[in-house]
Amino acid sequence: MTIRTRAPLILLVPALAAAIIALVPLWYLIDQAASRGLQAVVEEIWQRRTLTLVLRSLLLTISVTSASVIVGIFCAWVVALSGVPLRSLLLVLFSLSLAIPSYLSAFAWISWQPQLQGFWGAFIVLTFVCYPYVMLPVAAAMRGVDPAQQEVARSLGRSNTVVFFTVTIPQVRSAISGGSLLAALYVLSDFGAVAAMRYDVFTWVIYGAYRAGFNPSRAAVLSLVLVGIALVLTLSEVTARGRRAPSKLGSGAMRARRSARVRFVPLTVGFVSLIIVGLGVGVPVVSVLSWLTRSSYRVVQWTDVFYSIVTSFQIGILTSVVAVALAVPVGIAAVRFPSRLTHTIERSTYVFHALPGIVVAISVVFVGIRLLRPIYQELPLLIIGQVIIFLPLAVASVRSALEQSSIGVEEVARSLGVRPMKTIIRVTLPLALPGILAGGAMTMLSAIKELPTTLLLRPTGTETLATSIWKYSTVSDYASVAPFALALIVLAVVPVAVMSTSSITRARQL
Amino acid sequence: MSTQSAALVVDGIGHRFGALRVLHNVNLTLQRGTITAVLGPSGCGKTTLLRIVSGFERPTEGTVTIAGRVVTTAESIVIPPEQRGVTIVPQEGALFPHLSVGGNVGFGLRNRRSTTAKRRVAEVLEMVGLHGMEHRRPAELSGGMQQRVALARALASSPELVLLDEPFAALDLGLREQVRDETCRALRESGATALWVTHDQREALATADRVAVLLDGTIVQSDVPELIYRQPASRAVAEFVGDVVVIDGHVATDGLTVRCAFGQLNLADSHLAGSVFVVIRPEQLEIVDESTLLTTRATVIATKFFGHDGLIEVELHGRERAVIRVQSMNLPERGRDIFVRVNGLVRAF
Repeated sequence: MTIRTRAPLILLVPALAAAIIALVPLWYLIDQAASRGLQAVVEEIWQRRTLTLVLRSLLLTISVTSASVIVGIFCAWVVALSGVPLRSLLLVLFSLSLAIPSYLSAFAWISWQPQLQGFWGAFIVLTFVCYPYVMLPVAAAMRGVDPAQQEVARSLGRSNTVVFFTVTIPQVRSAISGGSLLAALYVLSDFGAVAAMRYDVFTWVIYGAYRAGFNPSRAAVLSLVLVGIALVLTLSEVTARGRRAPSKLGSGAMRARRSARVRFVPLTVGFVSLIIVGLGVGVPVVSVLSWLTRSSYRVVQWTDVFYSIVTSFQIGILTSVVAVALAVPVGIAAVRFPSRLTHTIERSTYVFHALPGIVVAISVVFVGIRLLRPIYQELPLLIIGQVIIFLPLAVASVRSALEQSSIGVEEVARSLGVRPMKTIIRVTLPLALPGILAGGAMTMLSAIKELPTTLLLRPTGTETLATSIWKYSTVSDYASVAPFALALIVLAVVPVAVMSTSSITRARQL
Repeated sequence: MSTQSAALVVDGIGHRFGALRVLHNVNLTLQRGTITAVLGPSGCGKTTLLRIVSGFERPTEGTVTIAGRVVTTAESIVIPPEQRGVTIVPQEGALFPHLSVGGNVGFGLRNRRSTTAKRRVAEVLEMVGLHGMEHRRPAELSGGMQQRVALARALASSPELVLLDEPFAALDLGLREQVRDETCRALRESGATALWVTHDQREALATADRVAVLLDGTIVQSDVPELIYRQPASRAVAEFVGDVVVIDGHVATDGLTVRCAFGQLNLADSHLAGSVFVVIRPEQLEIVDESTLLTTRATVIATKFFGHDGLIEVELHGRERAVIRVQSMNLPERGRDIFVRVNGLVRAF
């Protein structure tokens, strides 16, 4: 059997700490739900309105995910295979949806089309927020498909279109299913868009139950149902992926890809792409710009904008540093020292992948009141909440970065007399660094965009870009929203552009 | 052969992956300063053997002893890989992409920034013919150069043992021979003990002091290259190492000769009896112009042209077929009758 060294304590201790922090919400949920006994929980679940809520959430999740898969695959094909000009620019434009928070996008649509609300409003907004989650992994996977296979299939008499569906798509299926899981979990946990569109799904109702303050156990029970749905989704994706192990036969070097000429009229492809970009990024950006023209310089409190930017960045940087610092030992322990313990640790950080920020926030409040009185309503507690939410994101990117560095070089290092921990420091981490930094950037961006936890846990009197946008949007004071929204979009553009192009290029080099 | 002075003793190693038996009773002794090739077809367990010796895999049976210290037993990895003084040169080099050539070569040295370490790096780089390339990045180097950096890295700390895992398989033919010869020279110059696995019999015969043939998970013969070729221990070894013509034969009662489609031939060893397979190297077969007592008549049924030489396939009167290596200057045409003479002693199994 292959030698498996036991994970050193220096890794295990921080990894365990990460797992314990990640499991805080579970403690809260079970405590709350159990406070009224099992009977009450079952009754709460079997209520007609709970079932309606489940159906509404599932309807939104399934429809948005399906639409995201269609739009995402089309966009992936455009940027990876189509050969239309300016593909790299299109990639960045497509990915920019990620930079725009769902609540901002929702308010932009409402201010443009005031009659839009409820299911269709949430559906449109969330589809254009979610499709990059499908597009990015699928485009990377499409770039990774050996062009020789497509050529062989064509030489066997299949048309370009048939080759796409019979050769390319089957090989990127695990990327599609992984991406649609991300999209589905995002829809389940999104708060901003459904709140702005007044569409009653779990997160909105949970927020209501908490805010009204009369029914914390109902909020806890509903959260548990939501976690259950997320768990089922995750497990079914894992089983679906497990059945088809991706395989590459032979060791031949892959030839450089020559993009197929677009058989469809390039104009049509370009036109459809522009509509997608227009609806996803154009609507919010144009809305924000038009709001800006409405706000005069006298109205805009530039110092408020400045302090919001500073606070947002402070929170974003702290969150990403702490999350990555915890994710690195978890990832290393799971990838390089596989054992039941390290797998359990890793999985426990994923358990609440889909846990809405609102639930995390409530449970951190609960723990804060009970155990961490001194830092309640202080910055550290907000950071803890954000870290719990974004730890899965950081662990996933650390993990994939570590998996890309081959074990071969680490074995060489050990044969040269370097101890396992030293090998990690001198070989593993430097090689994984770009991926880890990209994960850190992504975590920071997400933390800056994050709304519900920030709303509930921010120190009294502090405003971030997200909370300022929320504060003015809910009272339709779009002129005041504009400078905050513009700042948020502009600041988010750079990390998104870097992240999207690097995820595709990395796939090409492999 | 004394095991006291041996750099490596592999004793009774067996290994299974689940129900699949990969290695079985493997025994191997390497004397200090020698190069040993483990020769075997792909999938015969060569890489597994190297991983066991380097300490990345634990065998299901047997022990590994390096310089008199037991490093691995079936129960445990006694000495972890980093304390064995066994360095590896993997198939694709596996250079550290984030370090310069100098950083790679000096990776395993103590006090890497000291002048002693830097001098050592320069010294081994010179040894592999990459003088003054310390500051280049691995990505800027050709495949052959990368492989030589990997070798320099493995030699830098003067290890007990260097393991090379098909180190040239990824290189193209012309480059492979050149890098192989340079590697061999560098290994000898450094006085290192090397264990080298390969499926290329020419590579093994041309470079190693000893060749161990690994077939179906066990070492069937371990000898100097000439003996492996001239006195193969079994028909399988003969067929794997070099080309052979195998025909049916019957040993004469005196046990000294064998009767077969090529007539009465002299046997190399005399303990056989009854029906046997006669194994003849193609270069033992000679085409002659005239029929004599020692020749056999044969009909050419196919020819293969390789440039400097060629192979002709002939049918003997017993309907048996044989392949004969000839100079390409005189490849006979198809359908012609020729006379074949067998030179030297033949082996039978």
